[in-house]
Amino acid sequence: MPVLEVESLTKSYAERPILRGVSFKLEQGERVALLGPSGSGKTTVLNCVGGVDRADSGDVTIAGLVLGDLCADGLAQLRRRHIGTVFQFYHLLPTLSAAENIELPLQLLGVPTSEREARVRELLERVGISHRAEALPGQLSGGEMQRVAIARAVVHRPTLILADEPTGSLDSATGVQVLELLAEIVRETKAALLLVTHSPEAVKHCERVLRMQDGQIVEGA
Amino acid sequence: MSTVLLILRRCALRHWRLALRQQIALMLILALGSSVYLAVRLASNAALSGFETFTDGITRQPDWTVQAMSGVLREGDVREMREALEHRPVSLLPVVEETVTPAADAGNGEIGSRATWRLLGVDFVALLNLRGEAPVGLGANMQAVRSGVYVSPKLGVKEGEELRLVVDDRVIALKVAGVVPETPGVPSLPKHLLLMDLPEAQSVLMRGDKVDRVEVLAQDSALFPHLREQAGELLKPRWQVTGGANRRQLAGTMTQAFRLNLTILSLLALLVGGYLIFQALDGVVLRRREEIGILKSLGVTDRAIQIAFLIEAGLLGLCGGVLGVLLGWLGAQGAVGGVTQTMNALYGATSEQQAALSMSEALLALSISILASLIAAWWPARMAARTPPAHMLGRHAVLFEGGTVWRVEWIGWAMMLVAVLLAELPVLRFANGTRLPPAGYAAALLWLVGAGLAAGAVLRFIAKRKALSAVWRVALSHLRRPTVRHRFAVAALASAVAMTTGMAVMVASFDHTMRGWIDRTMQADIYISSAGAQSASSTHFISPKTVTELGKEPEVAELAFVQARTLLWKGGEVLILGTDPVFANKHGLYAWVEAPEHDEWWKTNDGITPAIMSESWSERFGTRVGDVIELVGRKVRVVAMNAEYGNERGSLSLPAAVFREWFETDEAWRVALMLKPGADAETVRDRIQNKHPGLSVFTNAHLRSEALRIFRQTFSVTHALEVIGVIVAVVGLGLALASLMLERRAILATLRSLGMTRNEIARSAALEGLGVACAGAFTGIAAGLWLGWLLVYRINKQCFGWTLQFHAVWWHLAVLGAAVIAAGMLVAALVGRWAAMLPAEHTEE
Repeated sequence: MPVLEVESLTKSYAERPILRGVSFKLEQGERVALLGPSGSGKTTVLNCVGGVDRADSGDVTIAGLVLGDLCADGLAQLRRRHIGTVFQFYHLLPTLSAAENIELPLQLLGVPTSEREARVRELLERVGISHRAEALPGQLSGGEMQRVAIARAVVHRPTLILADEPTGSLDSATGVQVLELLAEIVRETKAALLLVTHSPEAVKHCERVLRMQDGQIVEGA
Repeated sequence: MSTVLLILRRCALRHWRLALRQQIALMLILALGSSVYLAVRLASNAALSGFETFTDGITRQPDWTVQAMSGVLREGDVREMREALEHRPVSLLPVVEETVTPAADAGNGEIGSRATWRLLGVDFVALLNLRGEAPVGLGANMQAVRSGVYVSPKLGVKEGEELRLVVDDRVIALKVAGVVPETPGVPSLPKHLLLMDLPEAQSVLMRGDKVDRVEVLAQDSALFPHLREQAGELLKPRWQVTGGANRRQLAGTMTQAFRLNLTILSLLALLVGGYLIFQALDGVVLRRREEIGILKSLGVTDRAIQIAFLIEAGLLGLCGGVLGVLLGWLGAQGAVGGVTQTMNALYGATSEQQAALSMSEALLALSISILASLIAAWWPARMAARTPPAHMLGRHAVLFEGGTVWRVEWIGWAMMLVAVLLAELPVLRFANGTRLPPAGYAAALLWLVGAGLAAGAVLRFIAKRKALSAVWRVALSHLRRPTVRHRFAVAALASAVAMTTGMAVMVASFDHTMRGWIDRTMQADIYISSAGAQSASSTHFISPKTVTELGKEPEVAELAFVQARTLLWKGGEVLILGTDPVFANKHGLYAWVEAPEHDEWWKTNDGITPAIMSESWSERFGTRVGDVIELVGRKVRVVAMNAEYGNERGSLSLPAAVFREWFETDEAWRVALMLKPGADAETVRDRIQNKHPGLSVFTNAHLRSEALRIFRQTFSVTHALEVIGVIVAVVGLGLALASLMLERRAILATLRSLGMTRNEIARSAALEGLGVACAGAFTGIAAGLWLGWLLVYRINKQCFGWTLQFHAVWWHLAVLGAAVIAAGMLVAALVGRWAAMLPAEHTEE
């Protein structure tokens, strides 16, 4: 069964159509890049898939759960258990340290303290910033922040990882490192990855490419 | 300047239109602060104006007011004054003045509840000579001056009607001789004033040939003020001469401490409001950061930005101030009754006047509002002007970190230390015995502000608690590194709670001390005074005949009475008492602060009259036990000091025999009856009251409750100010959290993307608010305890001279803390729910 099924998704903002019947699927462990020019609707697709925005029509199904059938709390629970997100601008909580940011999704799931600490330690090591575990986001570089964000996105072993331009704020060298790290971790956790990107380098780490134009998938669906 | 006006027109005022509710809310905050201050001032002024005399309106303000050294001035003295002044063109106007109450007004049993009128006896002939014509309403040349009283049309009685009045212990009937019409340009007779010809007033008041004072007016303006000075110098050796001091000025001096306390408290309420205004205006700058960034990128200078913002803040202050003037006037109407009643009970008969708004008071309130707005806006405007445009246009621009001052808690500790040192400075003394404690007030202010600054440490302590869940973790993480908004919210709460705690401690100390004093000194079964005596300071008398009749009541075992006289001494009014020391000693009625060397203190070997002074006297005049002072031309040795909470002017008790000799009177001021065992005090009370309608008769229980009620009433206005302060601070917490949530929209979106439910987000905000409320409440109560100490042992002592025992009702303070925390948490929960519903911030595509 696909991890993610998107069926005929439409969405408008202020009567301007953004999505015009987008449909695609993702299987478990599959890494898919979503490309398209600015304004084509990539981030809107990501928001609808992630449950932070509701489509006007169409269905999104994640791990067998239809998002349209869920209330606000239900969507939150879905995000908590099944989705991990990596943002272009990191969106770390500025008042939590790197380790605490990574730990937060496990706390939301009620994972016991000892298990949380073990997993956080493991991931800090894995993403290469265990020496910066107590630093606040304001004290980290862009690359370090994105590593923390990646760790936070995978710590709870989600079914689906959404990445919105994860290298958009990084220099090319750092961006390459981050992409490689993301790809490796996704492979290890066997999560599906939907990656919105402009970067050709990012596309290289994906198995399939979906191209969007004017709110529609024009290639790769 | 054209750039500034452009910014104001196109940006600022447009925001006002688009977010009108927000602007109105800001104006209301400013209005609240200035209105509280104005209401207190107007109410105080109105209460004070009740002390006015009408003679100022008829004659003009006198150049001198002459009273007897011994308090007894006779017509013979007036002749001697005239001789002393020789041929100089100076008019002498003898005046008799007495407070009376309408017999029909029985009051509600509370002291001070009966209406008080002023009966003024003026020599109409002298008045005619002075003015050259009769005052309007009294008949041309006064040939047709009739017997009776002249009244104001506001009293609502007609010529020929009868007025029944209580004077001393008698009920008398007076005919209304005329109603003085109101005339444009002429001061109208106040409603409460009854005017009579002097000889008739002396007869009605049974004064014989005595007068209360003589007003001296220099007539020849060509020689003025030299003539004025001469007249004063000629009269001073023999009489008490006060220069130009009308009764209102004297009353103003007398009540200065009380009114200043009220004013300081209203300013403290403004302080708490100031925090709120700062946060609100800082929020305005935050919301407009992108606009400011765009303007700067277009070439608008930093200075223009800052000036435009300050002008906008000034306009806000102006609108808020206008609203504040209206609210303040309305508030004053409500407060004037309470303030007047308190001044009436403590200082003497004053009648309730409507609180009037003068241009100067309105301008003062407006200025305060504008100034508060400008001060609150100055720092955010400065920071907005100085931040580079790129920072403002960035996604995560943080506009204002609060500057160094608000993050350096040690400055708060330093201010508190300075406050402790200031508290040890002595009071400022003035010639007439008035004291003002500016160091004490400064200490209170520094302590409050310092505690607010230092409260950040409490926040960080709270943040170190173990996080029980993700919700707690997120909430506590914000308190670990508190922003300036957190600190302001804590500071405002801490200030308000500290003020409330300090006042609660002072009131509880007062209550505790008063009860102990009453238990000791009030041991008679029945207390009697004149029904015209509406305050602890009034000197209505009971005739010797009435006293004798009281002693003949069958249930009376013992009778004692106190005599009293008000004198001017060292420029201020004091109370001289004549007491029965044998009776007092027998029943252990003295509450010694410094006991006499021997029990029979009234006996002397050296011919110098012994006396006991009250604490207020000692504090006011610096007199110590053992000092010899001069009173009415005689030497008096102070042999002891007792606690006396009836008045703060100061009293000196003489043995009764000495009092009678000096003041040539047997009239009683207060009578106390000890009843035989088994006698029912209520029955005796009722019988005496029916026989003597001119008397006020209280049982011991009733008088005790009245004494406590009056003291509690003193603080009724301050309690209202405290409640306002706490409400303002809790609202401030809500505003701070709301601003923080708006700043954190991206973080809120992140939390939701991580799977935090709206409920959890709301709980996290509520916990954050709980942390702030706890920090504010704990800091406030701790700071308030020291503030209470300051009020009890320094400010109160220095202002009123009373020693109080420190007493705190701990469960009251616990309830206050719990209420503040609960209110803070409720407000935070509401803000949290609102924040959880904010739409997720959209990212760029």
